[in-house]
Amino acid sequence: MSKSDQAMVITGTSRGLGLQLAETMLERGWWVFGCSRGPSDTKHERYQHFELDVADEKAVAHMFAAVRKSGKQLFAVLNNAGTASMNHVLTTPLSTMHKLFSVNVFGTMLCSREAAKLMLKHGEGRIINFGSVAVAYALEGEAVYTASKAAVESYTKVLAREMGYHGITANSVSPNPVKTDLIAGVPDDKMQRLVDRQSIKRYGEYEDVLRVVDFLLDEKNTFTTGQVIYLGGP
Amino acid sequence: MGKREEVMTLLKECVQEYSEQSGQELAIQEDTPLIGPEATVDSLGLVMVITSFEAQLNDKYGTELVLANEKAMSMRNSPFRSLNALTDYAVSLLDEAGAAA
Ligand SMILES: NC(=O)c1ccc[n+]([C@@H]2O[C@H](COP(=O)([O-])OP(=O)(O)OC[C@H]3O[C@@H](n4cnc5c(N)ncnc54)[C@H](OP(=O)(O)O)[C@@H]3O)[C@@H](O)[C@H]2O)c1
Repeated sequence: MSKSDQAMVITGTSRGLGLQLAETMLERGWWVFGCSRGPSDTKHERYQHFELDVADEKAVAHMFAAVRKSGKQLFAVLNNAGTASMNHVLTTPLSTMHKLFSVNVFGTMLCSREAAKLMLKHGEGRIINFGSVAVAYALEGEAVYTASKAAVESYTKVLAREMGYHGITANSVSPNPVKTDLIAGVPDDKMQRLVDRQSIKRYGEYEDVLRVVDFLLDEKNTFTTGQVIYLGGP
Repeated sequence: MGKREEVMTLLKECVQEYSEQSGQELAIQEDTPLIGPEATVDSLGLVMVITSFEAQLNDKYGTELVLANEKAMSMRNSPFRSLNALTDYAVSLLDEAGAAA
Protein backbone atom coordinates (compact mmCIF):
# COMPACT_ATOMS: atom_id res chain seq x y z
CA MET A 1 0.00 0.00 0.00
CA SER A 2 1.49 3.35 -0.99
CA LYS A 3 0.96 6.70 0.67
CA SER A 4 -1.36 7.69 -2.18
CA ASP A 5 -3.97 5.29 -0.80
CA GLN A 6 -3.46 6.11 2.85
CA ALA A 7 -5.07 8.76 4.97
CA MET A 8 -4.25 10.36 8.26
CA VAL A 9 -6.45 12.41 10.56
CA ILE A 10 -4.67 15.24 12.36
CA THR A 11 -6.62 17.29 14.87
CA GLY A 12 -5.84 20.93 15.58
CA THR A 13 -4.39 21.77 12.15
CA SER A 14 -5.11 25.50 12.00
CA ARG A 15 -1.84 26.48 13.68
CA GLY A 16 1.07 25.32 15.81
CA LEU A 17 2.35 21.76 15.69
CA GLY A 18 -0.79 20.42 13.99
CA LEU A 19 -0.41 22.83 11.08
CA GLN A 20 3.24 21.91 10.60
CA LEU A 21 2.47 18.21 10.83
CA ALA A 22 -0.29 18.54 8.23
CA GLU A 23 2.05 20.38 5.87
CA THR A 24 4.79 17.77 6.27
CA MET A 25 2.44 14.84 5.75
CA LEU A 26 0.89 16.45 2.64
CA GLU A 27 4.37 16.96 1.19
CA ARG A 28 5.01 13.29 1.77
CA GLY A 29 1.94 12.24 -0.19
CA TRP A 30 -0.57 11.44 2.54
CA TRP A 31 -4.26 12.29 2.32
CA VAL A 32 -4.84 14.47 5.35
CA PHE A 33 -8.14 15.11 7.09
CA GLY A 34 -7.65 17.97 9.51
CA CYS A 35 -9.82 19.87 11.92
CA SER A 36 -9.99 22.81 14.27
CA ARG A 37 -12.81 25.00 15.56
CA GLY A 38 -11.83 27.77 13.20
CA PRO A 39 -11.03 27.70 9.48
CA SER A 40 -7.72 26.61 8.00
CA ASP A 41 -5.55 28.35 5.42
CA THR A 42 -4.22 25.04 4.14
CA LYS A 43 -5.18 24.52 0.51
CA HIS A 44 -4.15 21.24 -1.02
CA GLU A 45 -5.85 18.69 -3.24
CA ARG A 46 -5.21 15.97 -0.66
CA TYR A 47 -6.34 18.07 2.32
CA GLN A 48 -9.84 18.34 3.71
CA HIS A 49 -10.61 20.59 6.65
CA PHE A 50 -13.44 20.21 9.14
CA GLU A 51 -14.44 23.08 11.36
CA LEU A 52 -15.38 21.25 14.50
CA ASP A 53 -14.85 20.89 18.20
CA VAL A 54 -13.12 17.57 18.89
CA ALA A 55 -15.40 17.13 21.91
CA ASP A 56 -18.52 17.17 19.70
CA GLU A 57 -19.33 13.51 19.15
CA LYS A 58 -21.60 14.03 16.13
CA ALA A 59 -19.13 16.28 14.36
CA VAL A 60 -16.28 13.85 15.02
CA ALA A 61 -18.37 10.92 13.71
CA HIS A 62 -19.10 13.02 10.62
CA MET A 63 -15.41 13.65 9.97
CA PHE A 64 -14.54 9.96 10.28
CA ALA A 65 -17.51 9.06 8.05
CA ALA A 66 -15.95 11.33 5.42
CA VAL A 67 -12.67 9.43 5.77
CA ARG A 68 -14.54 6.16 5.32
CA LYS A 69 -16.41 7.44 2.28
CA SER A 70 -13.16 8.67 0.70
CA GLY A 71 -12.18 5.03 0.23
CA LYS A 72 -8.69 5.73 1.62
CA GLN A 73 -7.23 3.52 4.29
CA LEU A 74 -7.04 5.39 7.59
CA PHE A 75 -3.56 4.48 8.78
CA ALA A 76 -3.03 7.03 11.52
CA VAL A 77 -4.64 9.58 13.76
CA LEU A 78 -2.62 12.32 15.44
CA ASN A 79 -4.66 13.63 18.36
CA ASN A 80 -2.84 16.92 18.52
CA ALA A 81 -5.68 19.36 19.27
CA GLY A 82 -5.22 20.67 22.76
CA THR A 83 -5.67 23.65 24.95
CA ALA A 84 -3.95 24.94 28.08
CA SER A 85 -4.73 27.26 30.91
CA MET A 86 -2.54 28.45 33.73
CA ASN A 87 -4.12 29.06 37.08
CA HIS A 88 -3.69 28.31 40.73
CA VAL A 89 -5.74 25.39 42.01
CA LEU A 90 -7.60 27.69 44.40
CA THR A 91 -8.74 30.07 41.67
CA THR A 92 -9.54 27.69 38.82
CA PRO A 93 -13.20 27.85 37.80
CA LEU A 94 -15.15 24.70 37.03
CA SER A 95 -15.74 25.95 33.49
CA THR A 96 -11.97 25.85 32.86
CA MET A 97 -11.83 22.29 34.16
CA HIS A 98 -14.66 21.29 31.84
CA LYS A 99 -13.06 22.98 28.85
CA LEU A 100 -9.63 21.43 29.29
CA PHE A 101 -10.99 17.95 29.88
CA SER A 102 -13.45 18.25 26.96
CA VAL A 103 -10.78 19.13 24.44
CA ASN A 104 -7.70 17.34 25.73
CA VAL A 105 -9.29 14.20 27.11
CA PHE A 106 -12.73 13.62 25.59
CA GLY A 107 -11.62 14.90 22.18
CA THR A 108 -8.70 12.49 22.19
CA MET A 109 -10.93 9.63 23.35
CA LEU A 110 -13.60 10.29 20.72
CA CYS A 111 -11.13 10.58 17.86
CA SER A 112 -9.19 7.51 19.03
CA ARG A 113 -12.40 5.52 19.21
CA GLU A 114 -13.67 6.52 15.79
CA ALA A 115 -10.23 6.07 14.22
CA ALA A 116 -9.80 2.62 15.74
CA LYS A 117 -13.14 1.51 14.31
CA LEU A 118 -11.87 2.30 10.81
CA MET A 119 -8.43 0.81 11.42
CA LEU A 120 -9.91 -2.50 12.61
CA LYS A 121 -10.88 -3.37 9.04
CA HIS A 122 -7.29 -3.21 7.87
CA GLY A 123 -5.72 -4.86 10.89
CA GLU A 124 -3.19 -2.05 11.25
CA GLY A 125 -3.04 1.53 12.42
CA ARG A 126 -1.25 4.10 14.52
CA ILE A 127 -2.90 6.19 17.20
CA ILE A 128 -0.61 8.99 18.33
CA ASN A 129 -1.84 11.08 21.22
CA PHE A 130 -0.34 14.24 22.62
CA GLY A 131 0.60 14.29 26.28
CA SER A 132 2.99 16.73 27.89
CA VAL A 133 6.08 16.85 30.08
CA ALA A 134 3.79 18.71 32.47
CA VAL A 135 2.78 15.22 33.66
CA ALA A 136 6.34 14.14 34.40
CA TYR A 137 7.13 17.42 36.16
CA ALA A 138 3.81 17.82 38.05
CA LEU A 139 3.91 21.49 37.18
CA GLU A 140 2.55 23.99 39.66
CA GLY A 141 0.14 26.44 38.07
CA GLU A 142 -0.98 23.83 35.56
CA ALA A 143 -2.94 21.40 37.71
CA VAL A 144 -5.89 20.95 35.39
CA TYR A 145 -3.83 20.86 32.19
CA THR A 146 -1.45 18.37 33.80
CA ALA A 147 -4.30 16.20 35.06
CA SER A 148 -5.88 16.22 31.60
CA LYS A 149 -2.62 15.17 29.94
CA ALA A 150 -2.11 12.48 32.60
CA ALA A 151 -5.55 11.19 31.63
CA VAL A 152 -4.50 11.14 27.97
CA GLU A 153 -1.36 9.19 28.80
CA SER A 154 -3.21 6.61 30.94
CA TYR A 155 -5.93 6.25 28.34
CA THR A 156 -3.28 5.65 25.68
CA LYS A 157 -1.79 2.77 27.66
CA VAL A 158 -5.13 0.99 28.05
CA LEU A 159 -6.00 1.72 24.43
CA ALA A 160 -2.72 0.07 23.42
CA ARG A 161 -3.71 -3.05 25.34
CA GLU A 162 -7.18 -3.27 23.87
CA MET A 163 -5.99 -2.60 20.31
CA GLY A 164 -2.80 -4.69 20.32
CA TYR A 165 -4.66 -7.77 19.16
CA HIS A 166 -5.90 -5.84 16.12
CA GLY A 167 -2.51 -4.62 14.92
CA ILE A 168 -3.12 -1.05 16.07
CA THR A 169 -0.51 0.69 18.18
CA ALA A 170 -1.22 3.60 20.52
CA ASN A 171 1.44 5.86 21.94
CA SER A 172 1.81 9.31 23.39
CA VAL A 173 4.20 11.99 22.24
CA SER A 174 4.69 14.28 25.20
CA PRO A 175 6.49 17.46 24.19
CA ASN A 176 8.42 19.85 26.36
CA PRO A 177 7.82 23.56 25.70
CA VAL A 178 7.77 24.33 21.99
CA LYS A 179 7.25 27.98 21.03
CA THR A 180 3.69 28.05 19.71
CA ASP A 181 0.57 30.06 20.59
CA LEU A 182 -0.14 27.51 23.32
CA ILE A 183 2.58 28.86 25.57
CA ALA A 184 2.75 32.41 24.17
CA GLY A 185 1.00 33.82 27.23
CA VAL A 186 3.32 32.19 29.77
CA PRO A 187 6.09 34.47 31.09
CA ASP A 188 9.57 33.63 29.74
CA ASP A 189 11.16 33.13 33.15
CA LYS A 190 8.53 30.55 34.07
CA MET A 191 9.18 28.69 30.85
CA GLN A 192 12.93 28.87 31.34
CA ARG A 193 12.57 27.32 34.81
CA LEU A 194 10.64 24.48 33.23
CA VAL A 195 13.24 23.99 30.51
CA ASP A 196 15.93 23.92 33.20
CA ARG A 197 14.27 20.87 34.77
CA GLN A 198 14.70 18.83 31.61
CA SER A 199 17.59 16.42 31.09
CA ILE A 200 18.49 18.34 27.96
CA LYS A 201 17.89 21.99 28.68
CA ARG A 202 16.49 23.66 25.60
CA TYR A 203 13.11 24.46 24.04
CA GLY A 204 11.69 21.79 21.80
CA GLU A 205 11.42 22.35 18.07
CA TYR A 206 8.79 21.12 15.68
CA GLU A 207 11.39 18.73 14.21
CA ASP A 208 11.86 17.08 17.62
CA VAL A 209 8.15 16.27 17.72
CA LEU A 210 8.16 15.18 14.08
CA ARG A 211 11.02 12.74 14.69
CA VAL A 212 9.02 10.92 17.37
CA VAL A 213 5.88 10.95 15.23
CA ASP A 214 7.90 9.48 12.34
CA PHE A 215 9.29 6.73 14.57
CA LEU A 216 5.77 5.78 15.68
CA LEU A 217 4.30 6.08 12.17
CA ASP A 218 6.90 3.83 10.56
CA GLU A 219 5.04 0.99 8.87
CA LYS A 220 7.63 -1.45 10.18
CA ASN A 221 7.23 -0.21 13.74
CA THR A 222 4.51 -2.64 14.71
CA PHE A 223 5.84 -3.39 18.20
CA THR A 224 6.15 -0.06 19.99
CA THR A 225 2.92 0.52 21.84
CA GLY A 226 1.58 1.91 25.10
CA GLN A 227 4.60 4.21 25.43
CA VAL A 228 4.80 7.78 26.59
CA ILE A 229 7.77 9.59 25.11
CA TYR A 230 8.85 12.73 26.99
CA LEU A 231 10.87 15.09 24.85
CA GLY A 232 13.89 16.56 26.56
CA GLY A 233 14.01 13.73 29.07
CA PRO A 234 12.70 13.36 32.61
CA MET B 1 -37.08 -7.02 1.65
CA GLY B 2 -38.40 -4.76 4.43
CA LYS B 3 -36.02 -2.56 6.35
CA ARG B 4 -36.09 -4.70 9.49
CA GLU B 5 -35.31 -7.81 7.51
CA GLU B 6 -32.44 -6.06 5.72
CA VAL B 7 -31.00 -4.88 9.02
CA MET B 8 -31.32 -8.34 10.55
CA THR B 9 -29.50 -9.82 7.56
CA LEU B 10 -26.65 -7.34 8.00
CA LEU B 11 -26.40 -8.20 11.67
CA LYS B 12 -26.36 -11.95 11.01
CA GLU B 13 -23.59 -11.42 8.46
CA CYS B 14 -21.57 -9.55 11.09
CA VAL B 15 -21.95 -12.38 13.61
CA GLN B 16 -21.09 -14.87 10.86
CA GLU B 17 -18.00 -12.86 9.96
CA TYR B 18 -16.85 -12.86 13.59
CA SER B 19 -17.58 -16.58 13.78
CA GLU B 20 -15.23 -17.17 10.83
CA GLN B 21 -12.55 -14.78 12.09
CA SER B 22 -12.49 -16.32 15.54
CA GLY B 23 -12.83 -19.90 14.31
CA GLN B 24 -15.77 -20.50 16.66
CA GLU B 25 -19.05 -22.12 15.66
CA LEU B 26 -21.63 -19.54 16.79
CA ALA B 27 -25.40 -19.75 17.07
CA ILE B 28 -26.96 -17.09 14.82
CA GLN B 29 -30.73 -17.16 15.39
CA GLU B 30 -32.90 -14.09 15.73
CA ASP B 31 -33.40 -14.74 19.43
CA THR B 32 -29.76 -15.65 20.08
CA PRO B 33 -28.48 -13.67 23.07
CA LEU B 34 -25.44 -11.42 22.57
CA ILE B 35 -24.84 -10.76 26.26
CA GLY B 36 -25.26 -12.77 29.46
CA PRO B 37 -24.32 -16.34 30.32
CA GLU B 38 -25.96 -17.77 27.19
CA ALA B 39 -24.35 -15.24 24.84
CA THR B 40 -23.16 -16.57 21.53
CA VAL B 41 -20.16 -14.22 21.50
CA ASP B 42 -17.57 -13.45 24.15
CA SER B 43 -17.01 -9.84 25.28
CA LEU B 44 -14.48 -9.13 22.54
CA GLY B 45 -16.86 -10.71 20.06
CA LEU B 46 -19.65 -8.38 21.14
CA VAL B 47 -17.40 -5.35 20.59
CA MET B 48 -16.39 -6.64 17.16
CA VAL B 49 -19.97 -7.39 16.13
CA ILE B 50 -21.25 -3.98 17.27
CA THR B 51 -18.37 -2.21 15.50
CA SER B 52 -18.77 -4.01 12.18
CA PHE B 53 -22.58 -3.80 12.36
CA GLU B 54 -22.34 -0.03 12.89
CA ALA B 55 -20.00 0.30 9.89
CA GLN B 56 -22.28 -1.83 7.69
CA LEU B 57 -25.36 0.18 8.66
CA ASN B 58 -23.62 3.48 7.99
CA ASP B 59 -22.37 2.24 4.63
CA LYS B 60 -25.71 0.92 3.53
CA TYR B 61 -27.92 3.75 4.72
CA GLY B 62 -25.47 6.64 4.43
CA THR B 63 -25.85 7.43 8.14
CA GLU B 64 -23.34 8.33 10.84
CA LEU B 65 -24.78 6.32 13.70
CA VAL B 66 -22.88 5.46 16.85
CA LEU B 67 -24.54 2.36 18.30
CA ALA B 68 -22.91 2.39 21.70
CA ASN B 69 -24.44 5.71 22.80
CA GLU B 70 -25.90 6.98 26.08
CA LYS B 71 -29.35 5.81 25.11
CA ALA B 72 -28.20 2.24 24.52
CA MET B 73 -26.33 2.17 27.81
CA SER B 74 -29.22 3.55 29.84
CA MET B 75 -32.06 1.47 28.39
CA ARG B 76 -33.63 -0.77 30.97
CA ASN B 77 -33.53 -3.67 28.53
CA SER B 78 -30.14 -3.60 26.83
CA PRO B 79 -30.44 -3.40 23.04
CA PHE B 80 -27.50 -5.79 22.93
CA ARG B 81 -29.40 -8.60 24.63
CA SER B 82 -30.26 -10.45 21.40
CA LEU B 83 -30.08 -10.18 17.63
CA ASN B 84 -33.77 -9.25 17.62
CA ALA B 85 -33.29 -6.49 20.18
CA LEU B 86 -30.24 -5.08 18.42
CA THR B 87 -32.07 -5.11 15.10
CA ASP B 88 -35.06 -3.24 16.58
CA TYR B 89 -32.73 -0.75 18.19
CA ALA B 90 -30.80 -0.17 14.94
CA VAL B 91 -34.05 0.29 13.00
CA SER B 92 -35.21 2.86 15.54
CA LEU B 93 -31.93 4.77 15.22
CA LEU B 94 -32.17 4.65 11.43
CA ASP B 95 -35.74 5.96 11.59
CA GLU B 96 -34.63 8.77 13.89
CA ALA B 97 -31.85 9.64 11.45
CA GLY B 98 -34.41 9.65 8.66
CA ALA B 99 -32.59 6.98 6.68
CA ALA B 100 -34.57 5.69 3.70
CA ALA B 101 -35.09 1.93 3.45
N1 LIG C 1 3.63 23.86 22.49
C1 LIG C 1 4.00 23.29 23.60
O1 LIG C 1 4.83 23.80 24.32
C2 LIG C 1 3.42 21.96 24.02
C3 LIG C 1 4.00 21.28 25.09
C4 LIG C 1 3.47 20.05 25.50
C5 LIG C 1 2.37 19.54 24.84
N2 LIG C 1 1.83 20.22 23.79
C6 LIG C 1 0.66 19.63 23.15
O2 LIG C 1 0.84 19.58 21.75
C7 LIG C 1 -0.41 19.76 21.09
C8 LIG C 1 -0.32 20.87 20.06
O3 LIG C 1 0.03 22.06 20.73
P1 LIG C 1 0.36 23.45 19.99
O4 LIG C 1 1.45 24.07 20.77
O5 LIG C 1 0.53 23.25 18.55
O6 LIG C 1 -1.00 24.28 20.31
P2 LIG C 1 -1.64 25.53 19.57
O7 LIG C 1 -0.60 26.26 18.80
O8 LIG C 1 -2.40 26.26 20.62
O9 LIG C 1 -2.66 24.87 18.53
C9 LIG C 1 -3.74 24.10 18.98
C10 LIG C 1 -4.55 23.64 17.81
O10 LIG C 1 -5.66 22.87 18.32
C11 LIG C 1 -6.89 23.41 17.84
N3 LIG C 1 -7.93 23.23 18.83
C12 LIG C 1 -7.99 23.75 20.09
N4 LIG C 1 -9.14 23.40 20.69
C13 LIG C 1 -9.81 22.63 19.79
C14 LIG C 1 -11.08 21.97 19.81
N5 LIG C 1 -11.88 22.03 20.88
N6 LIG C 1 -11.46 21.28 18.71
C15 LIG C 1 -10.67 21.23 17.61
N7 LIG C 1 -9.47 21.82 17.55
C16 LIG C 1 -9.06 22.52 18.62
C17 LIG C 1 -6.57 24.88 17.56
O11 LIG C 1 -7.45 25.44 16.59
P3 LIG C 1 -8.81 26.26 17.01
O12 LIG C 1 -8.46 27.19 18.09
O13 LIG C 1 -9.23 26.91 15.72
O14 LIG C 1 -9.81 25.21 17.42
C18 LIG C 1 -5.16 24.76 16.99
O15 LIG C 1 -5.21 24.39 15.64
C19 LIG C 1 -1.43 20.03 22.20
O16 LIG C 1 -2.11 18.84 22.53
C20 LIG C 1 -0.57 20.49 23.37
O17 LIG C 1 -1.18 20.25 24.61
C21 LIG C 1 2.33 21.41 23.37
